[in-house]
Amino acid sequence: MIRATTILLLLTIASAAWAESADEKGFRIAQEAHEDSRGFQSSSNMGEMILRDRSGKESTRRYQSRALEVPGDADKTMIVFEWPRDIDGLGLLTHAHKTRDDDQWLYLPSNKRVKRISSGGRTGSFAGSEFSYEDLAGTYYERFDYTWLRDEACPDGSGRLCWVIERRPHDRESGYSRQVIWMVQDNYTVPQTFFFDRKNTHIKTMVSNGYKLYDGKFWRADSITMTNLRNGRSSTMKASDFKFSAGLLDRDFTRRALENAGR
Amino acid sequence: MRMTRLVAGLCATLLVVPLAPRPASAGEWSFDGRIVGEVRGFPYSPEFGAGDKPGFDDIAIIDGVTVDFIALPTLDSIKNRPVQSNQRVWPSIAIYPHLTYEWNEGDDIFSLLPFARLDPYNARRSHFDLREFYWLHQEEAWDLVFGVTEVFWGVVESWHLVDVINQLDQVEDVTQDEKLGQPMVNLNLFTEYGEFELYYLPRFRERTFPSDNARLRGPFPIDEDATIFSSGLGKWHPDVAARYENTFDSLDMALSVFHGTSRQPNFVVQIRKDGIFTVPSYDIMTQLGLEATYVYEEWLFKLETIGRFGQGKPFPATVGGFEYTFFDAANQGIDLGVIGEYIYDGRDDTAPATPFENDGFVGLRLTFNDQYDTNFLTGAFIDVDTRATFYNFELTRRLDDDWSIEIDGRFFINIPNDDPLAPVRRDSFVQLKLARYF
Repeated sequence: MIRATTILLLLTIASAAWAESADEKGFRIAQEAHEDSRGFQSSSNMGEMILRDRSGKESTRRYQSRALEVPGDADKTMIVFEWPRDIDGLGLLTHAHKTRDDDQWLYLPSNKRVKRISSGGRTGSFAGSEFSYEDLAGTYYERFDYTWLRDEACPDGSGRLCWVIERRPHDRESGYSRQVIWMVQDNYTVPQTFFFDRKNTHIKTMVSNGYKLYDGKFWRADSITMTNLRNGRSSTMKASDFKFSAGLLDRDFTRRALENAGR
Repeated sequence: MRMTRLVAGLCATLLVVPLAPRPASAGEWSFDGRIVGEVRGFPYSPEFGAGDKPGFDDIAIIDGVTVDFIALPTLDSIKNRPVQSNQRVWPSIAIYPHLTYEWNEGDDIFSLLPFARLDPYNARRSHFDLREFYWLHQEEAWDLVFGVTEVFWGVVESWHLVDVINQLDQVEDVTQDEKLGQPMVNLNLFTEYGEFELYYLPRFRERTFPSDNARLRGPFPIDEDATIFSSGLGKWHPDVAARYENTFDSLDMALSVFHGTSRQPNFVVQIRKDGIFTVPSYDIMTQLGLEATYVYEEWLFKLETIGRFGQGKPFPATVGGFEYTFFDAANQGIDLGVIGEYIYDGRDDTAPATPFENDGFVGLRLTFNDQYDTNFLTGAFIDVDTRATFYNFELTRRLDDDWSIEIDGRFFINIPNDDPLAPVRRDSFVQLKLARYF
């Protein structure tokens, strides 16, 4: 009798596992990846953005970046440019949200003006790069539907196993119909992402390199390159000087803080 | 004398504070800036040139100006009246060096940003100013600015009504973007109910005016030595201001109050033995202000409203409208913003004149999102009654890490005789600026 119950229980569990659809599996993995990335409280890093045009001509922007975990909501982030000198002090503050549109402000140092900007600019370019705002800020996991596609060797040649997952943004204003991500099963890092436009054409590829483990818990890439297949341009974001549990407060993510950071 | 004392006090504070004992983390100096070469071209001959017959009919072209008859001008003074030069191309050069010192992990910042322009043909435009000379101290719940700096209030794109802390550096440009540094003590409090800003502004800055031989002036020479202040304290009237700002999801709003010397002068025409002069006159006024921005998807809705008391009859004024952005327009990576605003101003002849009383504004903003941050902004203010138009464009582009270029145009079109812009209606110009960063 006891044995029968146990077997029944095991069968139930097994069938529940079996019954997990590809969509549920995709969502579960995304959720696990999200939870794995939590707990840094606040972080800061230095960034460099290298823009390459079709002919290979490069130009560089440098900036400081900071982020704050918000209990019950998506992160707050601030980016303040330092280079080239004509945009020194230019800043972008984002209060991202789980379900409604993000709140965004731009600081223009030339006339000391903090300007509310339309968060509808998901598809707009970030600082002239091939990254759009939604590539950087609109990645909160609950904003997508998921489908697990398959498991395969990771495209970074490391020999590790990756989940290949398709995600589709809920947002009708998104520039994408879907994205395909390759996620390393060991550590939830994402070495490669394909972006498909509304006509389902593969238009951009994002490749992340040099993942390092910080504070024994947080994986971050040294460089992320976005290649635009439509116009032949590419942009590389390099990050360094990572600090986690950086001691930043809510007060460091206000309009006034944006203005003061640009001084 | 008192300015000297203020400067001395600032110097003492700035010298002492960085030397005060502090934790091991040392401060950090940084120095950069830019030099900007500029050429202005005026396609039309001047309104008040050598060929202009001296006469009293010029007075009639400005509505509501007080005429103060002191004595009959001598014939010589009329004959030798300064006239605008017929020069069409006006070069000049400006420098903006910026020195900062940060310590206490960036919680304390000292900033020094002097500005100087050398304009060989427009003597009053050759000027020096301290745009910034302040110490900022930041705590978790408050910060304090002590010294000279610039503060911007407002949300709209066309005509700023609420923005009242700094005086315009009007010789720099005809837009409202160039301002003189304002001495202040500014305390900002961050609370769960929003941000409160308090300002004490000990010294007033007078508006700048071009030389008599230059463009963009009124019909009569400005006599700055005769400037009138309605307060007996003159430039030293202690002005005060406060502002409250908060965000409610998609809505940003702010309420403000200012009491002190109006940044916008009235003009008095003095008829004297030595000629006919325009004298700026500054009233003590109180202004209440409201700012709001509401975001909905690609739309921004904006409103600024003021009530001003103490400059003639009390009056309201408001400017509001929208900005809609087409992001990545036509898949070319270009963002196209369309701006529509309307300006209403309820003032009458007893207040300083405004060119925009009942005006529509249409604007376009093109952000190219290229390596060079190419930007094009253009807009037209159109008077609903008279169709008088002020048209404006600005094109900016980085050339490389060291150089950037800007081309601006300011055009006065169909300006009737009784418009406050009438004296400058032949002063449309195009300017080219080349900046070298260091």
